[in-house]
Amino acid sequence: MRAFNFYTPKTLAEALELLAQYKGSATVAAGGTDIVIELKERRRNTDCVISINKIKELRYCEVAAGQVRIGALTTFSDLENNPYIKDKVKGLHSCCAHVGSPQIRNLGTIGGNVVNCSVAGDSPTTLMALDASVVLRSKAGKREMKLTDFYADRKKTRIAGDELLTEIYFDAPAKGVATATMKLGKRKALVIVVVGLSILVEKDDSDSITRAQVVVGGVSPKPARLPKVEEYLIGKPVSKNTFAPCAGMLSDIVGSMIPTRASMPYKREGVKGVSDKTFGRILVDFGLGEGGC
Amino acid sequence: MALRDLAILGKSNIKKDAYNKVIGETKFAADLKFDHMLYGGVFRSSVPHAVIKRFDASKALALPGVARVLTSKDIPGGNRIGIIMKDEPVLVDDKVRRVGDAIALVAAETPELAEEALELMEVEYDLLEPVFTYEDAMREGSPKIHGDSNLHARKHLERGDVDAAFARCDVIIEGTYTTNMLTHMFIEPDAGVARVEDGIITVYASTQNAHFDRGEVARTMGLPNNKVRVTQMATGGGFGGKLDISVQCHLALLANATGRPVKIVRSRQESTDVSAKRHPMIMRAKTGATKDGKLLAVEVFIIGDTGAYASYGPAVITRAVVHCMGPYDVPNVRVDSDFVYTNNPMAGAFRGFGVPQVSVCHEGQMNALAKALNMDPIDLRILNAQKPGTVLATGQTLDESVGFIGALRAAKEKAAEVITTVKENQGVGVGCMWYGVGNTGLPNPAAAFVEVLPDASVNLMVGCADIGQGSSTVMALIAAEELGLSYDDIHVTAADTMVTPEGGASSASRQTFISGNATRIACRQAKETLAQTAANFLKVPKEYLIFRGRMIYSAKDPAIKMTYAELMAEMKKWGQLAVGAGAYNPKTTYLDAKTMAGIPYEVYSYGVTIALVEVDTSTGEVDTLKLVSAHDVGQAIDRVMVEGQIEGGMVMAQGFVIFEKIEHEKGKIKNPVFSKYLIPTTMDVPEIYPIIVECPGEAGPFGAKGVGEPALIPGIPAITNAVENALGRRFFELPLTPAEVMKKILS
Repeated sequence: MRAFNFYTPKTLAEALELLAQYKGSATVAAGGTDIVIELKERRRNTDCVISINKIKELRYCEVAAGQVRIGALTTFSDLENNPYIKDKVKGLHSCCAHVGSPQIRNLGTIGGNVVNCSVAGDSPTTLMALDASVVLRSKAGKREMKLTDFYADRKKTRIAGDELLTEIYFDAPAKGVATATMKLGKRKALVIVVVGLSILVEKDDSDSITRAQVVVGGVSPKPARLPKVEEYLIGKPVSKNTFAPCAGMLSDIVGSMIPTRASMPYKREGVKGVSDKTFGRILVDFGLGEGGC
Repeated sequence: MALRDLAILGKSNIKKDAYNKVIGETKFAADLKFDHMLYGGVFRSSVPHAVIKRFDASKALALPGVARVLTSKDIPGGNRIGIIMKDEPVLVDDKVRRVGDAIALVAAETPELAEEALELMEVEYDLLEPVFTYEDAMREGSPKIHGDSNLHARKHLERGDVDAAFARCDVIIEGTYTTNMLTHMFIEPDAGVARVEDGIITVYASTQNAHFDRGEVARTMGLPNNKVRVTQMATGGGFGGKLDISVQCHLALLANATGRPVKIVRSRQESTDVSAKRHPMIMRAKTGATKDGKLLAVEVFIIGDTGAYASYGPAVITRAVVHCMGPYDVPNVRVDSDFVYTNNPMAGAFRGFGVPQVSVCHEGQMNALAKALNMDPIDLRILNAQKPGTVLATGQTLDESVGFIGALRAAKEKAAEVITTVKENQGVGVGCMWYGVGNTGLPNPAAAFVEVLPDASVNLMVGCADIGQGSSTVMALIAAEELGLSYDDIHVTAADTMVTPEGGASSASRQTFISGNATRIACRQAKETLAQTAANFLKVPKEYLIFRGRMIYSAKDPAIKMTYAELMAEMKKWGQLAVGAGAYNPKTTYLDAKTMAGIPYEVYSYGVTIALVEVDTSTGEVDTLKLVSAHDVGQAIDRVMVEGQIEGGMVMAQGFVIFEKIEHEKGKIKNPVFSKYLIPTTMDVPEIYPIIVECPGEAGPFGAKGVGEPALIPGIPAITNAVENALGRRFFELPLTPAEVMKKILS
């Protein structure tokens, strides 16, 4: 690790002031679970680190006016232990509960995970399935955008050097909405995503699907919405039979997304199992099944 | 019922090192600090095979805070090290043989400056054609890594008439098995500090063999052995990976050149890149039996890649050849093996010295044989099991200390109790192993010093390095049993070359047996003096005296007795000191050069694992559910420690089968860190049922054998076999990652 200036602002205003001062050359550390390693291994060199995890005002998870608003510094442990998330946003809960290890979940923040935008990151896939938006603040003001727009390309986001991601928000799942997330890793804990799948399904009173948001992670530079699967689901009844063909569709899509990658043959097969299980959880969330298609 | 009447052994105690480790007080090498200490770093090759055309450290030396840069020219003594063959340079002089060869050293005021200095060093290579495979290594005209041949070692073992025996077999099983390169992932990366004082170079290091290190440092520095002191610091695991020299010689060179203490702490990546790896092996086996299941003949051919340097390669090939027919009575055996040098990472010692690899082969064969004959796999093994009187392929006749059948029965009984149902996609598997304790057909002595102090407390000094496995606790328990004192009375000093005698390596599951025997012999010598003094006081012949429970009494009349305090007062009165020095070398012979006949080991440990696994056929994931593992250890010194070894070994076996593989390309390791080289986490650990089996035989201290490596081995074939049973398909290469399992499901 090389020497650098280190700041620990206590308020958002202080942090934004520092960011403006350094004109985008500062490195922001939230939980530090990625940045510290990069600094230590000299993969990242910087003159300045702004550690924002003392900013209490950015650590919250609240439901108001039909929206769930999560402060950027909310840790995965916070979300894992949040009764509302656990009960109403099962897809996000499952995602947070399977990040790394308890130690990493205690430090790692959802904002950091979103900004870091690793191919194999846990939360972007789930948040995209929830059609989440991000709030970006700088000394100059504030802007908001959909997460889908936030990700430009591999390891790149549309955040400006003087901006801080302060909040993530999405519509609170209404009655008739079920969510589920699953990740396939190489062991039971402390793994990156080999294939991740996150699904939101909304149904009407006659159990007919009115909305579907299906996102696959770990197979492209950024998580990918799958309109083909979503369109297929719209208007169909919520049932095991409806969901079963999604496995094959997902397999084809994954195969076509990474045709030359060595891991493709496995991911193409593995995603079928992930599909069956994730849609199985949607059925369980709707009280319509015991899991598994 | 216990086999032996013991006061101390066979119970469970708190390990000597437990308390300080739990509260975080234990000092590891990286925790050491001395005034004016410098920080060292090593500049390493980035290519696998090359001659160094130009090396320039001028920019590094110009960096303020950089004290010294050293190259091979600065070595005062010899520039070749190695456990068995001296073929590895301390610093490259002739040519680079692997990615990561040490080219230069730096010492600087801070670790950051040392790192920066390394980045400023410049090197130009004349690249040589590299060799990465067995085929390339053996090809005529291939580039040579050492001398004029890439054949590192060739072994041949033969007993009986193998061809005639195969002709008589009703069933013959053939299979080729492949295991990959693995790394230890000991939790503490290599580290050390050296300093020079009064003409003595002291090296504090994380190591499995301080006395070996002393010799290597002395030769490098051109000093007599008694001018070098190596003190083992608390060592955070080794598994064989800390038997080779790591930082010791580099530290001594830097401390000597600068006159200041120098510390080196390797990063995880550097540690994994250059420490020895488990030999990848290809094993082709042919096993023949009668229709009743009696083994008649086994033939095996083994290929191994020892990488750029020999390290413990010669030991691995010999042990693999001797063990590759498994723990069975096989009258006709032929084994051939070739190990080659390549420009791949160096392979050496890793828990089991080749036996884990060959267990995949011999148990794969036995399980296939059981299936072919439609026999219960345990019954097949009981039918062929080694037992007292069995003549081995080396011609050695086993004595009474063989508990294999007992372990088979114990495992089967426990498995029947805990594995009651086998659901869809689940499978049960069996794996067995045997393991010769100590080095193979070679002298490998260890010694101990003991002194019983005036208050009946004891100082015990053993060369044996405790690397977390608990040898110091074991030695204390053996001393307490022999002297008739309590465990808390014994203080152990281990692996400090100015204090303790030679202990040899903490490897080959040898320390309980060999240092344990040395400790007992040392205690017996001290006891001679004690017994004579007690005999004079109690007026009974000393042969009648029993030392037990801090008392000395007559076997004929227990009322004739004295306390240890009284005895030590008598010792003082008569000017007697209770001291002892003991050494033990196992009763083995060198092996015949042509047939490998001889006595490779004095005793053997045995183990049997029965595994239950579940395979997710939609994702290829394998979940290890239950492992029952029974181990013949001769005599348990401490029960919980033996169980701990078994549990740890089983988890490592799980890693071997399901997760682990060093990925390397053109000699460079691609996954040297924990985030890329996956080992089991606590979430992956199955239910483990360790079973301790004891057997007669008094060759070891109170009959104890070894368990360190045996604890790992049978779990490997057992888990593999369980996956095979779950899927109804065979696997011939490990690991069984989800991708590999899926491939098999789809095939």
